[in-house]
Amino acid sequence: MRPLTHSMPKVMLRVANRPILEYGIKALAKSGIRDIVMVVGYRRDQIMSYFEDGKKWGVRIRYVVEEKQMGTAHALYQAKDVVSDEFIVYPGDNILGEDSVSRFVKETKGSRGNAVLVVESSVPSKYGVVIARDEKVVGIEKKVEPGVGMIINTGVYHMDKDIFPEIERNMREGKYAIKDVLLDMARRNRYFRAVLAQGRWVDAVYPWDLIRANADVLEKFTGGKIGGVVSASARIDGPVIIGEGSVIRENCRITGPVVIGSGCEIGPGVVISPSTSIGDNVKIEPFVVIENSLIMEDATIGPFSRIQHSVVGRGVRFDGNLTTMVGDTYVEVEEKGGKTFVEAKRVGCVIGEDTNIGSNVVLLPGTIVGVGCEIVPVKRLSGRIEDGSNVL
Amino acid sequence: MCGIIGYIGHRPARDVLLGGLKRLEYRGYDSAGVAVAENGELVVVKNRGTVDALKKKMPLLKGTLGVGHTRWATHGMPSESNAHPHVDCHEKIAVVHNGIIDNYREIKDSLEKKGHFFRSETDTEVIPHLVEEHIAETGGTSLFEALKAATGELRGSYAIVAMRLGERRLVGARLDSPLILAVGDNEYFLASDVPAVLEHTDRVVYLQNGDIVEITDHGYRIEDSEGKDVTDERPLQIVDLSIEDAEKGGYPHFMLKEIFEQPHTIHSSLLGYPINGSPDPIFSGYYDSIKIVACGTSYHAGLVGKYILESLAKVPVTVEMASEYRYSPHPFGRPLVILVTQSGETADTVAAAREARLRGRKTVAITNVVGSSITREVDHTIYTRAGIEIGVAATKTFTAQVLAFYLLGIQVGLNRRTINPDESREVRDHLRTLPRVVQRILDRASEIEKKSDFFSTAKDVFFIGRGINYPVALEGALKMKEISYIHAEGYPAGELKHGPLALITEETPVVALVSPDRTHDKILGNIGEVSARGAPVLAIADEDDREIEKYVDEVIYIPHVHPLYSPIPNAVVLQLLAYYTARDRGCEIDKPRNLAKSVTVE
Repeated sequence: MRPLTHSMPKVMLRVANRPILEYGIKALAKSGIRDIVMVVGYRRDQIMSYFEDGKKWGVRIRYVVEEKQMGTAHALYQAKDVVSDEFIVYPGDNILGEDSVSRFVKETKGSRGNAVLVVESSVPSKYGVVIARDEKVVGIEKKVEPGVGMIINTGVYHMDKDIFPEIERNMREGKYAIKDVLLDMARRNRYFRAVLAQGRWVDAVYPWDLIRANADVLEKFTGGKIGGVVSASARIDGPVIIGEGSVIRENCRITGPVVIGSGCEIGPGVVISPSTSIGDNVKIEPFVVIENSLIMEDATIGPFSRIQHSVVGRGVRFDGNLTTMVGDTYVEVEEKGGKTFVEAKRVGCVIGEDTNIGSNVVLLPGTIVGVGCEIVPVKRLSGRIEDGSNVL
Repeated sequence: MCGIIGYIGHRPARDVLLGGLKRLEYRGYDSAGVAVAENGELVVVKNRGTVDALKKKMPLLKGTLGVGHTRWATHGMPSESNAHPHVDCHEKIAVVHNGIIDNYREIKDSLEKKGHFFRSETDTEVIPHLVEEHIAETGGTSLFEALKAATGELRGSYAIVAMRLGERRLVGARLDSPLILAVGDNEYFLASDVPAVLEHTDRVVYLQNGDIVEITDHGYRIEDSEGKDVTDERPLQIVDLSIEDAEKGGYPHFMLKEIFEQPHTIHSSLLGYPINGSPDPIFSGYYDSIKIVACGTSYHAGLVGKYILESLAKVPVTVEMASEYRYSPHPFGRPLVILVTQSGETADTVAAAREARLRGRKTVAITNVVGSSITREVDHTIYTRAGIEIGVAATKTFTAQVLAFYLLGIQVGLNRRTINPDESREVRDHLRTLPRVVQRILDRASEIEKKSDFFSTAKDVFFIGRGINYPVALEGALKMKEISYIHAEGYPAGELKHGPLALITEETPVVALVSPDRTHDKILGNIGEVSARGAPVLAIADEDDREIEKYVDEVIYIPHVHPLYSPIPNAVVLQLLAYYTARDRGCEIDKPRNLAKSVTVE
């Protein structure tokens, strides 16, 4: 997810102007769960200051700190003394799947033994593809390419306190992932039950997943309050939210579903097309076209820019005339084994936070610009630009 | 944010309710009220002001059934008539409410046509009348059924607790606003927040959206939005949080939480004067200068404000300590007087506002608390909108006040035509970058934490700055003093050599605020003066300043900003330095010794 996670935990990345984790908390609350223990580590202050004690969502949240991120089982182990006898493990970085979660919780409630929520999908999950026999999970395989009809592991589990001695065993052998514990137990005939749920499941693994997730969330969007000041000659169609104190100047055309935050300054003559989310305090100068993109808070988009299928990080500044090209491409990503190339279809670009890009720059499809870069005017860029680069 | 509470049991409701409201009060208050069923009568006592003031006003009621409410207004004026609880026409039903009823006007109109008469302007008041109407229509149904029916007509958000004479029960309803049920020994509570009841019981049920709950002397019943009995589906939980942990959201201290909130509070403050709004008429009319009056940290914000207003609006500004203002031997000129007070209750500043009015001055208040005392003494109020500040040492309210001065600078400048709309947009664009600048500093808090070792054995610390950063140095020293108890002084950098330099030794660390403007070279000279005497120097400098590290022992860099906008990022660094120093010394931080959050004595 780099560079977007440079100073933010992935779960706090915004989709439709809400942190990914908020969708998870809402899904859990909807399935009747009231008591939530969050194991936090990287940049936990951002999570804690947003969610506080959980009251706003009708739940109680307690925090347990995992000082060093070693793996999912290790993280779970930190909550050993705080959880009740029976609990749900939820990874926090997926969006949608609300109904699947509810059904899983309902079905596993009160049951003995461990279970895992699996979903049929054509998109791979970082938790692997599940091999099951008679509803028992006998294997988990890693798969990177998309395929049809895969049963994927969502990383959502139902467990009881007996899991902790099992985790201890595995950690002693240097294995820190829940997946390892599951396979180890399966070898000793203590299988996890696979519970198949229907419905959408979106795992945000790569930056462009955010664009898809954003579009999916906004699909169900019915619009809402239009705050701020909207010029009489501006046209707003479809479901659109505009936050407090935002200004939409003359001749703008905004076609929903679109979410715009508070304190924004947009226009004149700006076109915003679905499904776009714009954060707080964003300035969009005249004659900019934005389509199916996420513009994070505090960004400034200079005039005559064209942003499509892209993610623009917090505080980014485009002087003007920036074009993000869209196309199919292969993007270099870092996996645990090393660098590899992943196919990305119909993607634009990703710009890391606080980067400044001079005027008249063109970004080829799949360009990923890191955090805090400075790019001089009139350049054509592609591939990955490392954090802090000065492109001259 | 309001607090509501309801009680049914064997103890006098008055004490339980007032105690609970007091627990909720720190979240803010402008009015409070309580209703108790006493000897067949509904006794309602309301008051504008603190819970303590309400307590003094309240008779010693013995009734064991009642509801209470404390209000922190975000919109609209607080007043006794608008305070909760609200009652129906016959004063038999009392209701407290947290939230907003969007369609209250239509409901009120329709009820008025049916003969109901309303006593206030609030949306809440429709609720007891709706309940009354349903009881009348059905020929005497129960409070539970009536409230259920009433909520069916409401659109908006609510947490409601209702009581009715003649029925020994309380009924509550929740939609979007928080409401919990707490279970004691033969006594039951409904409240918006766990802290309100934590001293009586630790057994709590979290109600869900759409729930209607009824509590009696013998137990409780919960129905969901579809009318299904879900009492067993709402688990009773044991809360093991201490009252304060629940509110700090995981931070060890409120002060740290508030420091980290600043990117968010700056966002909120920026909405104070919307872009594209026409210049505020309060700043038109004749005044020949501006006088800023304040105490403590607000006074420092005022000093920064002087530089800002003089730069942006080109108007002469004087700054005075509120406690001294009344002693001006001969007040002259026609200044516009701006009074700055976070709480709005600071006695010295409120007295100064009264004095300003006696002198015939036009007055403006900058405050964080809606409906506070200062707002009643001035012609116009600007709210900093930073949310409640619980830590006694001001952090986010300081930066919010400084931000207010930038916005004021634009307003005054536009009014006096000393800046044009293009220039005002430029200022806005600079302000727009501040949330990110502050966030980037906070992201490096652990680096700043390490630098606080600089002060671990110090007994005296000096903070120096020039120009707009001189008052920031004063504020840095104040923060250090307040929470770490280390003696600290702030000085204009050029002033040290006129006396205080005698105190500089190897044992006295110096913190220098170094700005990349025309003060830069001069302050390097001042740094030379103190390091020549052996003092360790820590500089806070712009990230583009490549020279500074040669002259000092330690540097903390802030992201590049135009020097006029450097006070806010510099202040955040100084807040963190003070915090980590205090923490390493084991100081109390949120409640420093001898200090109160709002100084209401003169």
